Amino acid sequence: MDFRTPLERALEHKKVLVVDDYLDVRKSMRKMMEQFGARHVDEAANGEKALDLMRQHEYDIILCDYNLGDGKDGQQVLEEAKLTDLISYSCAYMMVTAENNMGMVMGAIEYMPDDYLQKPFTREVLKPRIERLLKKKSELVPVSKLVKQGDISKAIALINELVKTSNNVVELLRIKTELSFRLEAYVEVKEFLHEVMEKHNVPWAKLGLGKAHYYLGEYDDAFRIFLELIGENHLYVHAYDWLASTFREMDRNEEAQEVLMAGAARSPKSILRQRSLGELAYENKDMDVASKSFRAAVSFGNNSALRKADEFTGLAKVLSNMGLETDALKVISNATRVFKESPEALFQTGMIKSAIYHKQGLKDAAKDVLADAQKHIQNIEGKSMADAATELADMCMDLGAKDSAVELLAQVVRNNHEDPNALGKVQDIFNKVGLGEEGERLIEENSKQMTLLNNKGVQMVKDGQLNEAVSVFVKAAKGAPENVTINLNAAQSLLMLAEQEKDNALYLKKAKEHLDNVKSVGARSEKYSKLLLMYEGMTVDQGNAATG
Amino acid sequence: MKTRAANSESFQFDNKIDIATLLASSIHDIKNSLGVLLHDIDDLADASGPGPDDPQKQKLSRLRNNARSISTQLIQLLTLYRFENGSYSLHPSHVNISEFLEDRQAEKRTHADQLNIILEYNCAPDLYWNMDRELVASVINNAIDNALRYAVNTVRLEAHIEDEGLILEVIDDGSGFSDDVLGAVSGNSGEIGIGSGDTGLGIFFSSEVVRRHMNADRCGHIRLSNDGINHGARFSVYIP
Repeated sequence: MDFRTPLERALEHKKVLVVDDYLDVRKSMRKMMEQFGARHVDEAANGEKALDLMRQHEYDIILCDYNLGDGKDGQQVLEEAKLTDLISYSCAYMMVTAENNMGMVMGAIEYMPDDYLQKPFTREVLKPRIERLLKKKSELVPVSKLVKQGDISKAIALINELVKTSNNVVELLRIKTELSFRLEAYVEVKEFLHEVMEKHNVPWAKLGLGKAHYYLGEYDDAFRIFLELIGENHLYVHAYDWLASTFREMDRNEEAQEVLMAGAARSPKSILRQRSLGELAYENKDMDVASKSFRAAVSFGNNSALRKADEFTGLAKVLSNMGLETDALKVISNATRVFKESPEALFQTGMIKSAIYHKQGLKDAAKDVLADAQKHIQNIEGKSMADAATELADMCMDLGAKDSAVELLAQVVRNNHEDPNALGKVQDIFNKVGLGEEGERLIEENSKQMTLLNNKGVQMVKDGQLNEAVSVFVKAAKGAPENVTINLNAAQSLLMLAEQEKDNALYLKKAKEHLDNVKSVGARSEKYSKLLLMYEGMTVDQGNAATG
Repeated sequence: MKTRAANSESFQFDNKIDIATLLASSIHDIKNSLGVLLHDIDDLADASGPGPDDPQKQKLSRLRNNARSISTQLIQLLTLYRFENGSYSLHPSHVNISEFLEDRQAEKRTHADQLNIILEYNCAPDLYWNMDRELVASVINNAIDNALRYAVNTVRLEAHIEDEGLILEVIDDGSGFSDDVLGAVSGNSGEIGIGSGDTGLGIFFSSEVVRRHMNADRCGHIRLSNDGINHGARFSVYIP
């Protein structure tokens, strides 16, 4: 007969991690969990060790003290763990606190633990909490698996089934909302949240509704909802953040700043919030607020996985603006040290540094720094390539390196020949230095060139001359590796070829390269998704053929 | 006043020692020690002799009760002091009240079992309210301790919405509050006099916590009455 309690049975195979910098407390927590029935309990004395362990094992329960001495605190450990996917929906993260004052008010922070536990606590206090968490989380195990595999729609479908019989409906609905936002299914989310709000009085539902309106561009509705939320609870800091974003979209930047300042006053320790406030204040030319906010972001960023170079470069720009170039350079020098592994950050800081040298009249030094910064662009993943190149060209213009600037700008045009936004920015740069006409000519020539090439290739496809079409597209893509249209057409014609040929591994490989080019620019359209599916279908067949 | 780096820093002593700073850096240490202490006592009590009449077990039981009592009162005093010097403000969160009462029941179950008293709760499962969960938990735990002292068979925890506020209640089937106690509390916050014994600290702490819960122009308050089970005591907290 099995005389074990349900809790003992539940805990027997669970992996538990206990994190506290006091040895006695760690041992005490471990012992409690073992008394409840846990058989796999690991310990860590600080945040870094805890994260290390999380990288090696998947834990089901984590008990982490907020105060961990020097280094990361419990909240920062949680943030990094969530950011780098070390813990899943089915992991229970319990924050242990000596004090109730961590600014965790009403979701004032980006990532919430599953529960809080105040010291001192006895077994009697801990036990029901663990039981409840385990019960809630056990339902989420299959959901968590699906999410990890990237099957978000299936995960949502599963949740829809689970809510019919679950005791934990509200939490399930909250996760469904999160997942639906990931799928960008804003219209469906709106409907769904209206239903939720009828039955459950939970602020996240209303916030979600506001967010859905925001993403759909329905700013008046979003504005109304966020304002209501703040009225209902003046401590709900997320509502302030979203209201500020909405104001920005409505071009009401000063009001946006006021709102963000109110939010930051209630919950200052958020890097994201301070950074946004700094950027906004800088745009509003309020250097005082901008410098205070960026400084706060820099200081709270210590030990945090959420820190970025942006607050450093932002602060440097502000200081430079205030005539404090030496201080600005110190900040940049700090940033270069902190972010030495990040090409984006090094590029960013390089650009600002160059501009500052220029402002100080040190043109040669500025040129050298620019040359260094240019090297990093190749290693930068992401969608800001056009912006980065344009910015760099802007800087080059400033330095009088006109030829490099023009070269860079021509490349931007070739890469974005159908994007009025990008072309507009290019024109702006020429206009800024009084070379508007030259700019117009450059844009016209280069975009025409790409259009002609593209049309040529398209016509060849229509005429059934697939090989020639591929040749045209691939060559055009070489000269314009970020051009989405060209790359998609290259991929498409390669896939069409691959369909026809038996020996198509090379075509498939090249097609994928072009698709990856599109992905790295950050542009994902329906056509991209279709082509990706097509490619995946053909590679699966290949795989089957190979093994079959 | 941030981390407990007190050991690696040297204190700057002015003419008087800055108690608030000392307090802040000691709190973490005190709570850590308390936690380990209580756990060790629990373990000793578990491991001791068989029957409830065993003198060793009784001693350890007393030890455990006293340690808990000290811990509770110390935390209450610390909180009150921090209220007083303005270094503590409420931290409300969106709390599921049914789970809240379930946790209180689970925490006090052993205590209730020892006294052969049934501890139950009654609350709608989807009732949520904004309040400082930890502080209100102390208030309710305190009320439960009191109720357990005087109850005959049953102590019940209840929650419902009334007057646009949340009512949390601890009712028992004992003989009710004495006139002295009812008088001291007088139904208004801030009018509570501290009686003798630890009931005084508990009720004062509770009233301080409750009255700090505010919404618009309304304050929380505590009401004591004798319309519990069979004219037993009813301890009622109103949170706007």
